Amino acid sequence: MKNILLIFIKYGTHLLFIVFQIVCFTLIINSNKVHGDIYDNTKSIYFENFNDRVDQLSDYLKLDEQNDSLVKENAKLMDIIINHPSTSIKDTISDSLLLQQYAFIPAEICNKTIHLRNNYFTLCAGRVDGAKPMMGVISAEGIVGITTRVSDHYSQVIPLLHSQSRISASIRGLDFFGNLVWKESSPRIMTLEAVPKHAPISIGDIVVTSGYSSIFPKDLPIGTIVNFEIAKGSSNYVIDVELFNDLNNLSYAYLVNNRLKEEQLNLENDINE
Amino acid sequence: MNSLVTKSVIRAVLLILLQGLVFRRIAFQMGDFAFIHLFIYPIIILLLPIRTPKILQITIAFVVGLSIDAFYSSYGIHASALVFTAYIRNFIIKLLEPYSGYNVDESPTLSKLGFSWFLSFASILFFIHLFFYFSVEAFSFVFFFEILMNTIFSFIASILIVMLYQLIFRSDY
Repeated sequence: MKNILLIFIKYGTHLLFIVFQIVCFTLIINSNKVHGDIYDNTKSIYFENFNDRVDQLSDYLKLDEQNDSLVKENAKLMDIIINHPSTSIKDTISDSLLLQQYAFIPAEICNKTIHLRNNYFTLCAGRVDGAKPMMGVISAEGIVGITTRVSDHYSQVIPLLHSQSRISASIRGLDFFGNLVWKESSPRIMTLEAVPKHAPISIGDIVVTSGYSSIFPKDLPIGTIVNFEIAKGSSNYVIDVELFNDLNNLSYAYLVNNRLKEEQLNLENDINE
Repeated sequence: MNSLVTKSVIRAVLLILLQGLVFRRIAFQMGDFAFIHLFIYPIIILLLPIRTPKILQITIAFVVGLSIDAFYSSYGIHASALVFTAYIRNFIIKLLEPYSGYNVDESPTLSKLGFSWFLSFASILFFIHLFFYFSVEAFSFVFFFEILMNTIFSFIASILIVMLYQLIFRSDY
């Protein structure tokens, strides 16, 4: 208190001067029309620019949050698209047994390798989030891979870019299907094998998931055919497929939870025994 | 001491009335040439006794400025300029201090401190005051030419009146 008083005694004149000037200028701006107009104008020129900058900055800082919410929103929308492909055309039947077959779990990719022969991705989603081994992993534009090992909070993914990755794929509009493997060194090009040579394929055709495995839903786009040839003495095509998604700059993915997978596998195992 | 306060108060009231009722109406105009305005009221602040507390000086300036504003219906402009002038006055007084020092009980008038001292004292403060006033009145340095012309011509006219006033009332008023 004493210090405050001392400061006031020492700098009182300057403080009072500033206070009076503030009072005067407030009066000037509020009571004189011309001055008020000039003030408003000047303020809008300098401060709107400043406000824009601040807005931009806060938007940037909120990007993470927004991303998370968008990813969740996307997962919800994909649920709708894949589980109800044409709800508007079909008659509506209320069936309490109708089950939503596929659920999607958003996950951030927290680690990945791209340039090795056998690459691995790590997702920041584990058992706690509902991840299990042998689940499909897709992104907004295409598929990513299949989970192998799952811990409580992380899961390891064998991406397409792995020498052992094998995805059952077909060509949209045709019923032929084959295996999608990675032979090239480019992370954008995959090879589709085991498509019989009488299949009428052409460059530009879209390669989609076949749905013959219990891992991926049917008809998810993977890439386009950029080149194909028939190896000597073989009855199958070797098809080069360019992926839709660039695994290199992917940061979010979705785990595909097939709720009927157990049922399907159990049934198939019964037959084998 | 008391007579000094009384003198200052009477001087202030008279000069405010003179400024508000007489000099406000005098504006020299020759065609488009309307740069001359007569402002003599800063002399109230200039002639405050040197010993007056600085806080009091600024407060007086604020009150006098607002009274002038009431005549000119320009709320805050004269007050702002006069507060600024009162604030600067202390530095100018320190700057112009003669070798013999001041008699701090007295007002710094022409009769006490001489013609040349008073001329430089009044010139500096009037010029600062007028420049500040016209700047605030225009409120934007877009009008810098007008501000400068107004300041220069009003300064010449006002300082003439002030010097005449000091020469006529040599006895301390």
